[in-house]
Amino acid sequence: MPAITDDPLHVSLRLLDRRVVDVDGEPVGRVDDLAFEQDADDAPRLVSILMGPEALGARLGGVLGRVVAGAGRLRPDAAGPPEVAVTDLEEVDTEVRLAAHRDDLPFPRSEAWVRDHVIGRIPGAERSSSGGKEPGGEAGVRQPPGTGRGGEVGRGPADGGARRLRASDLLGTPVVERSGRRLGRLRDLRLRADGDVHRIDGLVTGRGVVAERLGYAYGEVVGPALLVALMRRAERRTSHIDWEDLVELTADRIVVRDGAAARPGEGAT
Amino acid sequence: MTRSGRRTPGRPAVLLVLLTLLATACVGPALRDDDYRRKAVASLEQLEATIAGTEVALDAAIAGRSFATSTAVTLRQHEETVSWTHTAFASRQPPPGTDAIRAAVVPLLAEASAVMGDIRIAANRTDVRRLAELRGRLGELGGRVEGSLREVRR
Amino acid sequence: MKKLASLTLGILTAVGAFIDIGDLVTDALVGARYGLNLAWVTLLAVVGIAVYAEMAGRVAAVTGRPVFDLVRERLGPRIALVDLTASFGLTGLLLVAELAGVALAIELATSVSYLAWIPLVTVLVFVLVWRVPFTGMERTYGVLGLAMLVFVWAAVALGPDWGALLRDAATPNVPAGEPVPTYVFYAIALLGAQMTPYEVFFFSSGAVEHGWTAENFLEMRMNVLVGFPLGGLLALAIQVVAAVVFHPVGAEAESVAMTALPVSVALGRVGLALAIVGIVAATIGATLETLMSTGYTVAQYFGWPWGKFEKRDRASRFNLLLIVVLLAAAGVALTTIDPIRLTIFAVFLGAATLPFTYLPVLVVANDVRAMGEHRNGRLANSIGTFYLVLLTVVSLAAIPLLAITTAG
Repeated sequence: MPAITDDPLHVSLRLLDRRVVDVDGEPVGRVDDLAFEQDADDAPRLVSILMGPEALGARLGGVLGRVVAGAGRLRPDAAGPPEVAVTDLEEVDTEVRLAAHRDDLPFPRSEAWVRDHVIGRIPGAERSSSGGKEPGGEAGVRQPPGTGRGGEVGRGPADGGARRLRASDLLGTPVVERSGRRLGRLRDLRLRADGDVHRIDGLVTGRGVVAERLGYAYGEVVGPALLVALMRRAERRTSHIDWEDLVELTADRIVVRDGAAARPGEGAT
Repeated sequence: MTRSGRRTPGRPAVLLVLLTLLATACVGPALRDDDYRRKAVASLEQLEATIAGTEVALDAAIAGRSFATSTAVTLRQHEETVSWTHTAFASRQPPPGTDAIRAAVVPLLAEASAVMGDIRIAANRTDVRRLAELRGRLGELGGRVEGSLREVRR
Repeated sequence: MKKLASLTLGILTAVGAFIDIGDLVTDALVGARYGLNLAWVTLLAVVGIAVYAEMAGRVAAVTGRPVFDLVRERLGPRIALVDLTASFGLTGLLLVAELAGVALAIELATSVSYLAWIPLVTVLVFVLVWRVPFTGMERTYGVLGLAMLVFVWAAVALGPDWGALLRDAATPNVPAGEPVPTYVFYAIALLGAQMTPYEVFFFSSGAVEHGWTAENFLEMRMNVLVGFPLGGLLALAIQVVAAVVFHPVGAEAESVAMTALPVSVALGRVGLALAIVGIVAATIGATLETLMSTGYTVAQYFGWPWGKFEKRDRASRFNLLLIVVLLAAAGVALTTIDPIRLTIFAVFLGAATLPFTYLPVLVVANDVRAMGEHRNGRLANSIGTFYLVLLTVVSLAAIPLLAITTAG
């Protein structure tokens, strides 16, 4: 059964910044970034979630982002941020649940490092029975294929010339029509199921995206009346663009066909 | 493809500026008569309020309703407030034409400083008789501060 | 008895957070300066904090997610980082003030300078955080904090003209000769002292540490309904005794010693001793809460595992952060920085950050998918909206006001 049941799925509401928990519901991190792969002319498909300061730094941007990302690279083997393949997720609902047990994950490494080198050395820091490094035998720890130790958790299939994109690469990029009309920055990505993968199906731009992130745009948040009214107004300032209308995607801008931007209620969803 | 569309987050700089403003707001030089007069009024008001608080503390101490330790702490803090107020005002350069204000206010502050010192000493010795005597002096001083305040305010 | 014991999170939150150094100082200060003309702020604060604490507690019980988790999730990484910086910084400043507050209260009993006590208090707090389970900590300080009721006793013993006080409280005005911006400044400072952001951080995280679920709503609501009104009662009592003893003679109250003095006047040494015990307990409780809250906010923003004691080996970064913050706060407190001015400054700016903290709580409490049938009703939404608007106005007014009044 696929982890992602929403169709369409808006990443800023449903995935980004959501809490990531292990199979027992213990927090292991946050969805700090997303990785996509694009083969040939297909729309990019979601391959994994990224966690940790290195991924977060890219989202934050600016000097601060570089500092945060730098802190993430202090790990001895700087092989990119911890990553979990979408196929290793158990559930994506109000939080993201992994199929694995926290003791079987190779991250967060700083947690283990601090435990072994600092906290564990302070007198009185004896371990409670429930934690620690029990090998994952107890209570049938689920360790699906591909979630093994040693960092191959979603290092991501990077084979075969597929183009790799991060959500942080895309979000914030200015979107313009071919004629030059500016549509604002890219604020959100809409994914749709395509067989057993999820591909980017639409772009959301404009200043009203706060309604999407807070959850008002899709009827999930239903009150209070004042915020509902404000968010309805904000929503009018967002534009939805179908992926098919995309003309060009570069580091600096996203070019779309003239007249591609549809407002909510005009049939773009 | 690289990242784009970054913005610098946060407003910590604003906070820093405000902190600095706050830290410097209390000490700038008094350049004009009005400023000087206002500082004089503020100093006297501070003195008046501190004397009133000291009187309450002394009454409680004399009546045996308070611990010697807490009385000592309260009086020490009040002595510090008064002597700080005294030093801060006395060291301020009076603009021309404000000598009368200075002549009225500085001696009062100095006297208050001295009395507060005496009170602290008596309190530390738990000399209740002397405290009662100083309580009277403080009351009389408070009256004069009030009169002077009326004068300076005009 | 078990029911009674389960009320301690609310009592600790209320006595330790509502009646922390910020309140002890601000209540006495405004009582002495304005009489009961700012009592309305306390009523406003009690209702506001109770409504949002209930909401945050309900969200935490249903979704398992405390407040800063929601802040990051709904406001995104950048705005949440600004909120984190502000909340962490101001809670850290309050921690410095609470540590100093414990030391100042001990100074009252010993007359040995508070600076000498700060290292000892720091060690005590470390041991408490490190060795005492959450519930033990909660009960000890919840119960000891009840000694603060001596302020209520003192208010009764002083036998004030209740009718006149009530008139003052019911028809608030700015006393003659007092500048209006300063009155507004202290109104906001009082609001900030009583609705400090860390109260909801602590309460919602505590709800998660207790493992509360939807079945614990009654317990949670009892905690809110007993705890915060109790805190408000104590705050009003402090204002009343200061108003009765200091306001008529024009004395100013800007120290822990002056906060306790009216109790001496009313009840003599027994009362003073109780007041000192109460203040020490309340400020230690608040020290623990502010300290834990700094850790909660950071851990929840980054998605670290967090939790006191029971989960130490799984939440090592969280625990390390607590130690570092505690040591840093002790270091700052030892610089002889004036803890009282620091407190007033921190509670005032704390009020300005409240909309950022409360908005995500209000939004998620209305999220059908996350909350289902437990989402906000009309009452919670009306009151919640009112406070959100009010706090947004306060937030916008705060910075210009700080410049005009130079912090009172």
